[in-house]
Amino acid sequence: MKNIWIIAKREFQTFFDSLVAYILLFAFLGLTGFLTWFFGNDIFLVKQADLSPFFDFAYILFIFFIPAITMRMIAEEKKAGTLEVLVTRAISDWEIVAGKYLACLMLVGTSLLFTLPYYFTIAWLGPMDHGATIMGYFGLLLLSSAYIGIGLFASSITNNQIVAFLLALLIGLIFAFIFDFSASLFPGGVGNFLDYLSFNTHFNSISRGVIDSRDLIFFLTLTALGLLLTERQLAQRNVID
Amino acid sequence: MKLTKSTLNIRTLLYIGIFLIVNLIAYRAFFRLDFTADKRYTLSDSSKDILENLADQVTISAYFSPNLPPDFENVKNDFQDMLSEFASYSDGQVVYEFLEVPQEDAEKAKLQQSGLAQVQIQSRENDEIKVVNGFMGAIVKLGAQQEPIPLIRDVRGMEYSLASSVKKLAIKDKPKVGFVQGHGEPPIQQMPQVAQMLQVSYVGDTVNLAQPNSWAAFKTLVILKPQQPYSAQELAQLDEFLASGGNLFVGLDAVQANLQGQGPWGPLNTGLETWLGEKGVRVEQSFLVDQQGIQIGVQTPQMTPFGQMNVTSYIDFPYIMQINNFEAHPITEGLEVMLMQFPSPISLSLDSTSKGGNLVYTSQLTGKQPAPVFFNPNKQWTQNDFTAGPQPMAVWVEGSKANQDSRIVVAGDGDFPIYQQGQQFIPDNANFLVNAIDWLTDDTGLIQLRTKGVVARPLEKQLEAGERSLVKVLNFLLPILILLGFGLYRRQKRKMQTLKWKAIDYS
Repeated sequence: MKNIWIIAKREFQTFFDSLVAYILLFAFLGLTGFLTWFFGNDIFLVKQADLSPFFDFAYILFIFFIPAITMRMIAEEKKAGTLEVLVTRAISDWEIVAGKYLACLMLVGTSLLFTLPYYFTIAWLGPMDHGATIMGYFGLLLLSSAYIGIGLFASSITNNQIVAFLLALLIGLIFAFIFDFSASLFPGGVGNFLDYLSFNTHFNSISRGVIDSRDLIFFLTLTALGLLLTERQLAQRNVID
Repeated sequence: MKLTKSTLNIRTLLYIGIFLIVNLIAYRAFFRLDFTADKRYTLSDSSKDILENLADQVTISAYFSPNLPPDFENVKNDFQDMLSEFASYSDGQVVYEFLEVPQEDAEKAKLQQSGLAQVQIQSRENDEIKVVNGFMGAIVKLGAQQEPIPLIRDVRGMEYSLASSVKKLAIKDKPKVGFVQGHGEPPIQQMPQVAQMLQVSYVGDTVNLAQPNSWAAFKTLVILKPQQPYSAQELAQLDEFLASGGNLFVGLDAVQANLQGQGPWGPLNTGLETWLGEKGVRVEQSFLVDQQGIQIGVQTPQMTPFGQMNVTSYIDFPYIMQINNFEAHPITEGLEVMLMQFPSPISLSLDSTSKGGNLVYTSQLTGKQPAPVFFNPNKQWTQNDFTAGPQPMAVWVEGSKANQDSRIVVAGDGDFPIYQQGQQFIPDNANFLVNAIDWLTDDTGLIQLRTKGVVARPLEKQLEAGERSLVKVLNFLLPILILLGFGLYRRQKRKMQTLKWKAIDYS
């Protein structure tokens, strides 16, 4: 546990030591800010004291934002060969993966913290449903947790950051939109199965203010699957043929 | 253990297998926690009350067409969740089933006859968008009686439809609500929205006060928009009714206006205003004007190149107004906006035997014009016409010298619940009257349910265009500025650190 935390802290600081975190956060905040307050279905057009426009936009932006965070996580270390340095320090593969996952989640959490002015502004403008809104944020965290699992896995199967980014983007798009869309094409059991796999179904359910154990377990097990497969990918180095 | 490719592959399959199995189990056994402020997705106490007191078994048959698109499939799931909650709170008295929707037209017609609505559902089959007729409804049965829920298309209102249908069937003796007639009061047929809501819990009937004790069977009487005077005997009957513990709703037009012509618009005397005055409720014979008034079209003859023609122009008409200023009370709970035409202000002066309060007010910018009023369509309304402040237009009173339990609700307008052909009807106008009747009859069971889950949360703060822009720009820039500030601070800190390191003398 201690090792995981050390890695997470180091990775988190690395984000802010380079320009990466600033550019990503700048892009994320600029886009959500613009979309939430100025563009299309903005708050003053919808005239409802809730943050759902923001949640809807964040749902889409995370598909791009999170692969950009995770892409270098493992691919870079594989390319530079620095993984071995970590491993020789008696840190297991699992600790590396978990630490990096935690660092990414902390960065996403930070990006959400920066949107707190939206929360307070809307609470000031009208009678916001605080419970439902906080659940919306919680839903975004769960959603990003699953995206990070996917992103880390994508980063672990290649040495190339661009490939890792595109792969994570592709898998993310499938979970965010393709399952949702194809569920409407297949009636009955297949449709229900695809609908269950769709992020949209689970995220909508949480962001309306209801914690359903099904949504919780879906996002958490998907995260775990992503991380376990990442670890499995790292273990491949040690395969004896 | 030696790590080989095959152990790794087995591991991969194992992980995916566990993922699928855990989710499959989770799909079957689940729980939900509702964090919404109004507990929108949780059964309310009034539903639980109805269910716990069920004496006979209620069967709910749900009909959902197969192969619904996923959004509708979700509605079906929500409905199923709610039915299982209903069943568990009813202690086995509610049973439900999902029945197959028949394919044959004759059978479908039977379903429609029992009250289910046929809806058009778009579905995609073999790469073609097909529109099929389907059903998304339910039939609630108790013994030989049955009650349809024609269409279920949203989780909102689902609980009310279900609970009210169950209640409708389960209530043995519905309290009677009497509509007083004989003085030009409109019959209940002119209030279809109100009638429909009332029949859930009440039996409605007409009452003629000219006959002594005609009120005896009723718990609540409603007097709406009387046009002719009440006789002394009739008023005495009302007094007896209240003394016996009865409750009364009065929607009174104390002034009379005629939109054709320009007036004068005068007071209307029915004797009720004096009678109510004795009870401490004074309906003023004045017109209220409110800046939240509507616009109406007027026809004015104008000279055009084609000769004289009537041209419609729109003028401000502050005598008909939107009302969204409500006092917190069970009657006004969940109401958002009502529309009142030619209302009069009401004031209360109660003695120590009764208590009461206001229910509904006009907006901050309100003016008062004592009758008679001459209406001038060319008038330019300014702020100076609206200086009277918010005026109460509906009040409640509980208890009197004769009986401590009787209740009265008075509204300074009699038109609001009446449906006028060709005009948009404001649902809260009906909700207000039905809520008032619920409160008067002390049957508070369904009162909160009716508006549950439809509570809008509008932006309340009134901002001018400039302030709005400021809020927008601040919210856009603030997170970014904090980020930049944080970045600069870190950079500065690192710089200082580097300088410190450089300053160390290693010699």
